This record gives sequence, structure tokens and C-alpha cells, in this order.
Amino acid sequence: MTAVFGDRLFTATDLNRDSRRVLDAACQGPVTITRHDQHFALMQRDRAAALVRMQEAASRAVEALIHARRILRQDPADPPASLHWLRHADHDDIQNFIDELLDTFTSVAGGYADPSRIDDVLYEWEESARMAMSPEVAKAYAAPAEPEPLWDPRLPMPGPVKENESA
Amino acid sequence: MTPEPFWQPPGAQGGDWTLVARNRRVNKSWRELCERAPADAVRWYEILSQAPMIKIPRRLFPMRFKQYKGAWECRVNAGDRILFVPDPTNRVVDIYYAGPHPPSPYPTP
Repeated sequence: MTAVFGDRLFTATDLNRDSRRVLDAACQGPVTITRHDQHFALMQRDRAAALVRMQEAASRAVEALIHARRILRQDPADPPASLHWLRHADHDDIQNFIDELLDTFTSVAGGYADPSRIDDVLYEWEESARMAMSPEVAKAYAAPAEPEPLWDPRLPMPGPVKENESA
Repeated sequence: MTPEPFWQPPGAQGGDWTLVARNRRVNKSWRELCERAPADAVRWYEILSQAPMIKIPRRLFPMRFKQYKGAWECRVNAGDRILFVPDPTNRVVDIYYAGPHPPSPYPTP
């Protein structure tokens, strides 16, 4: 990841006397305002928001990776509720989770993907885990195949669903 | 809103996928879903008929666990899900579950 401040330095006096020049520079990228031994960052609001989103997403990714590694190492500490599914996943699935999360994080850090992709990956793994551990879903998946066309919901409803259709 | 994909993988081009219920029980639960959420049902029926293998983050995505390798999940709405196995060669969507979001198997602290 590139450094946040490249860096253009201005003094607090510059900001007072020629704020337009300082703000124009801040439009191009973050600048530093110095006052005695203090340093302040000045950047566009959108950029600051993006940095915060990136930092928050990175925190969630690292937290998930730490817990995944703990599970692989058979650490008895329980993960948070959103990652509790890791306790029920096997080695290969956890390793695949780690790989996908690291790949996504690399794309986000490189600026090739939005930070929301990390939350997407976390959500989709948690959701998949819920399905993978559901007895209802397992039963449906293993049910005998007697395929029939899926009813088209754009057609008029053929009447109430009858109980004897469940056979 | 139907997504506008800018690229489609081979075998996933839009249009003319056949949606198949794996058995009568699936069709029954699908019709119950249609009664609960008719607009969502139509929307997802059309998306799955057109592009069942175009990922939509958190809404339409491949399932991750290896026991369901090849299966996809569709989040119809907050409370309903469709689970299916797409067959790109024959352009068939084999729907094996359509119904309520299964309850969480984990104990709530």
C-alpha cells in the first residue's frame, strides 16, 4: 500500500495566508500542516472516509484470520458469534476460507476491490456454514430426484397449496 | 433491481435456463414462498432463468463448504432462500431447496 502522505508540507501560517493554495494541494492528495512540533493531516473527506472503511474492513479480516488460525491449531478459545461456525468446519474448509479472505484482502489493499468485498466474503462463508450444518438442507439435498418444472410465479396461483402435495 | 453484468462466464450467458424443482416437495415449498413474497419470487425466478451463475455479492453466490461444492445460494429476501445446482452444459437449474432460511445451528450466548 502506498504511503498516505507523499508528502507536501505547509505551515499553519500558509493555511492562514493562502488557504486556497493549501486546499488545492489537498485536492490532489493528503498534505501535512505543521504548527511548531504538531502535525495535522488535511485531505478530502471522501478519501478520509475510504481510509476509515479500509481500516475497519482490515480489522474484521485480521480478526477472522486470527480465529481461523486458532481453530486450526486446536486452540480451545471460542471465536465470536459471527465466526462460531469455524468450530464446525473441517481443516480443508477453514484453509479455503483463509485463502479466499487473504486473496480478497490483497485485492482490497491493492485498490482493486472495494473494502465491502471483505464483509461479502465473511457473510457468504457464514451463510454457507449455516446451510452446511442445517439438517433440513441436508435432507433436501439428499432427497430422491423426481424433477418437475418449477412453478412459474408469473402465472395465476393455482389455488392453495394442498397438504397431499408434500408426499 | 436486476444486475447488468459487464461480463459473463462461458456457459452462463443470459436467457433460457430451465428451472427445475428436484421433486414435488420443493415445488410445494416454492409455491408457499411465492405466496409469502410474490414480488421477490418473480424477480428471482427471472434472474435465475437468465443468469443463475452471475455472482451478486450476498444475494447470489456459490456455496463454500465442500459438501455442497457446485451448489449456489440465492438470498430471496431476509427470510427465504433458494439453493440450487446449476448445470451450464444443459442450462438447467436444479433447485433442491426453496423455503425459509434455516435456523442457526449455533447456540446463542
